[in-house]
Parts: sequence; structure tokens; C-alpha cells
Amino acid sequence: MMMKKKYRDLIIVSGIAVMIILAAVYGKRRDAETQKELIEAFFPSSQYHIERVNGNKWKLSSSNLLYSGNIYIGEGKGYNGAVSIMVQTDHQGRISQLNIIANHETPSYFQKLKINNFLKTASQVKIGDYVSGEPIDAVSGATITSRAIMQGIRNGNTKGENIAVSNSFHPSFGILEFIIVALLIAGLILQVIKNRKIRRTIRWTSLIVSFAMLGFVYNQPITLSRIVAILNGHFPDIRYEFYFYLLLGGSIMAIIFTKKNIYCRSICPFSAAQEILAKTGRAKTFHTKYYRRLKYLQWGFTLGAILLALVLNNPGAAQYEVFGAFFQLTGTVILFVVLFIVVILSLFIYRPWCNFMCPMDGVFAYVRMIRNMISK
Amino acid sequence: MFPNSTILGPLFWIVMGGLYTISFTGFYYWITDSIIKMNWWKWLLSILWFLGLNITIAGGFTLFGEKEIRAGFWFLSVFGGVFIVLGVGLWRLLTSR
Amino acid sequence: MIETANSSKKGNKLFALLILIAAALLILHLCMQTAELNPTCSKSNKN
Repeated sequence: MMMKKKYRDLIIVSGIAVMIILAAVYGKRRDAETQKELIEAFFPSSQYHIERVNGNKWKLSSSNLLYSGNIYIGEGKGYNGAVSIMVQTDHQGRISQLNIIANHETPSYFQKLKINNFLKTASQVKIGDYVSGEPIDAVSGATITSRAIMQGIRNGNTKGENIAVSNSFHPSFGILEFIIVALLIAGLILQVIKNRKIRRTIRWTSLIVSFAMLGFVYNQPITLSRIVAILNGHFPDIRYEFYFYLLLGGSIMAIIFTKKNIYCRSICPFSAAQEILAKTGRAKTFHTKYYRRLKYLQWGFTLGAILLALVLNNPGAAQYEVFGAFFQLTGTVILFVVLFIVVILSLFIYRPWCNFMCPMDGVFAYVRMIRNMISK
Repeated sequence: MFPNSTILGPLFWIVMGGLYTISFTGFYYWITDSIIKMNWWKWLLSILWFLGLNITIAGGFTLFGEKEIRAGFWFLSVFGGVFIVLGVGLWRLLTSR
Repeated sequence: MIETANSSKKGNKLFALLILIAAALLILHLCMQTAELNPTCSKSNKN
């Protein structure tokens, strides 16, 4: 019996791994557009003459020679992957056009930039101003994407003109990082303390801190699109998003060493929200004969979303969490309807999102499965 | 509210007033008959909750009336959701002990 | 999972149904999001 279970786990773990690798390889194959084709899509060769200077800079002149300028192409690190920026400048360095030629950002967040006219504001600054820093304010609620655009402009300009920039790779350790370390430690302490009263105090303190800080102030839970972005080879910028490495690394380490999923139990801000709602409505654990089937549905759904996003080579496609809708009122109408159902359900059954819908549950279950296999 | 009539508007509000009275007195008798013990802050919270719910519904339908259908739905679902949650919490508070 | 006494209650069927509805809506969300992410749409971000 024991042997059988071991083989079954091995088949599941390796099967999922193979599927993910195949999907990633297939997705990467589709990504084969050259720079020249991209530029010609914006500046047709019948009207413009383009000449390559280096990998980031192209000289542009109109066919009638009345206009000449430069095009810079650069990349910034966005939420779900690289954001490619194409900047057109005149010979004085004024930006005349700013285009995002490729991005993997989640549509509802990307929409925020459009509403706030971010590209227009960004193009009113001279390109040289981007060399030393971030001359305009990031759009709140879409900070990472705004920052990625400015980074892309700087990247294209400095590389194209061979401007030396000091690239410090010091990860920033701020309030958010401090909170995450504290929450991780609290989660680990909960595993060893037996006293019920102290346990309750620690648990509720960390739930409320996570609800307020990770949820409303920073809105940075682990999302599936982030996981897919990493599977796709895109790692978040460690200078600005050190917290993410702490959060993911800490949660995975906790599973490996203590077998316990402390992220879902006491760190995730949305689990805190459901915990509070459960307390409000005195919710009960949902025991049903459909439990197993609902669980498989949840995990299958997650796997499907991961494979879809990898095949499309677009991590943003895997985003189906309601965190953004709950904490930032950002999301599609459908997500709000789902959120409404989840909030009402949370009053009556214990943590419906975590138990039956959340993708992170499947991801951590997979990590635990690997851990159990290796430890045997 | 009723653009083609002068009498329907006042009638509507008379009926609404009647309904409010009935619901208040009904609630009062029901609550004093039941095992729930009420005191001043429980009454205050219940009335505040009821007023808030009314304002939510009124606000939502005002937006519908002004042809802001989308905004109306948002208003109703966000504040409606909040008031459902608050309502369940209030109910637990009223029935505790 | 152990079946408990209330597993055949009507309320629980309703809860399970609501979860399934939410799952169906999430599928719809993924489909629509994928359609929106189609490269031909996302490239026209001209100012």
C-alpha cells in the first residue's frame, strides 16, 4: 500500500512538472518578433528611413528628410514580466512618442495607467531626466508597472547612448520587509507554542497586521501570475521587491522544514479577511461529501491556468484572484461578482476562497508533495 | 419620479411612510416578544444599520434614475455587500448571551 | 474527508452550488482576460 502511494505521488509530481516545462517551451517558441519588424509596425518603411545604431538605438528620419530623431528600445521589469518600451525623440531629446511594444501586465492594472494618462505625463519630460531617477510619480495601485515603464525608458536611453549608470543591487529593506519577516516568525512560533491563549493572541495579531498592511496598505499577497512569471524566467526586481523573495522563500522553507503551510494560515491578507468574516458570521467548516471533488476542481483549475499562461507566454493570463478586487477595488466585473459570492459565503462557511478556489493552495500542496517524496 | 402624473408621487410617499411605520412597529413588537434582550446601544446600532441600508438603496436607485446604470450597480454591490456583512455581525451581537 | 451528520443538509448543497457558480465565473473571467491579452489588442497603446 505504501509503495503504491509513493508511485502515485511520483507520477503526479513528475507529470505536472513535465506539463509545465512543455507549456513553457511551447510558449517561448512563439515569441520571435525582431526589433526591426516592431519598429516598422510603427514607422512604415514607405515614409521613414531607419538605421540601426546598436541593440537599443535606431536613427530615424522621414523619407523627405524634414524630420530626424532617434528611437530607443528598452526593457523594464514589470509585475508579470518584461515591459518593452519604444521611445521616439527629436534631436534635442524631447520625447515625441512613447509606446509600450510588449507587456505582460494584468489588464485591469494596465488600465489604470491609461485612465491616469501616465504615458502622456511620461512623455512630457526630457529623456535625459530619466537617467538619474524617476522624474514623475508612479500611478498609485500600479506602482510596479509605472516604475517598469520609466525603467524601460532609462534602460533604452542609457544603453543606446552608452551612458554609464551605477546599478546598485542592494535590496531595500523597508517596513514591508520588516512586516513580512515578523509575520513569518509569528507563523513559525505558532507551530511550537501550545498555550491556547498565547496562540490566539499571536494568531489574531498577525492576521490583523497582515489584513491592514499586506492587504490595504501594500496589497502584496503572492499571486499566481507572479509564480507563472518565475516559471517563465522572469524574476522580480530585487531592489524594489525584496519582500517578494522573502515572502515566497520563507513560505516554501516553512513547508520544507515544518510541513506546515504558514503562508495560507496566517500571512495571506485575504485569508485574514475571511477569518474576520468567519468570526462575524460564526462560520462553520464546510464538510461535504463533495469535498474531494471540489478540491480536485480547485487544483485542476490552478494547473489549467498555469499551463494556459505559459502557452500564451503571458503570466498575466493566469490572474484570477480576487485580492485586487477586495483590497484595491481593481478587477473585472466578473471578479467582483465572484468576490461578492465569496464574501457572503465566508460568513457561513469557513474560508471558502482558501479551501475551494485559491490557486496558492494548489501551488503549496504541490511543494509539500515534492517535500514528502524527497524526505521518504 | 412619475413625470406624467401629479398624484402618483405624493401617493407613493404616503405608501412608503406607511410601510416604514409598519416595519418599525413590527420589528419592535417582534423583538420584544422574542428572547432577544434589547438595550439602548443595541437599538442605536440597529437603527443606524437600517438607516445606512436605506441610504445605500436610495443612493443606488438615484444613480439608476440618473441613467448611471454602471455606477448604480457598483454602489449597490459594494455598499450592499458591506451592509450584509455588517447585518450578520449585528445579528450576532443582538443574539449573543 | 469524514462525512458529518449535516453533510446532506439543504444549506450545504446551496453552498456547494455557490462555489461551483463562482468557479464557472472564474473560468469566464479567464477566457475574457485571455481574449483581452491577445497581442493584436495590446500593441495599440499609442498616445
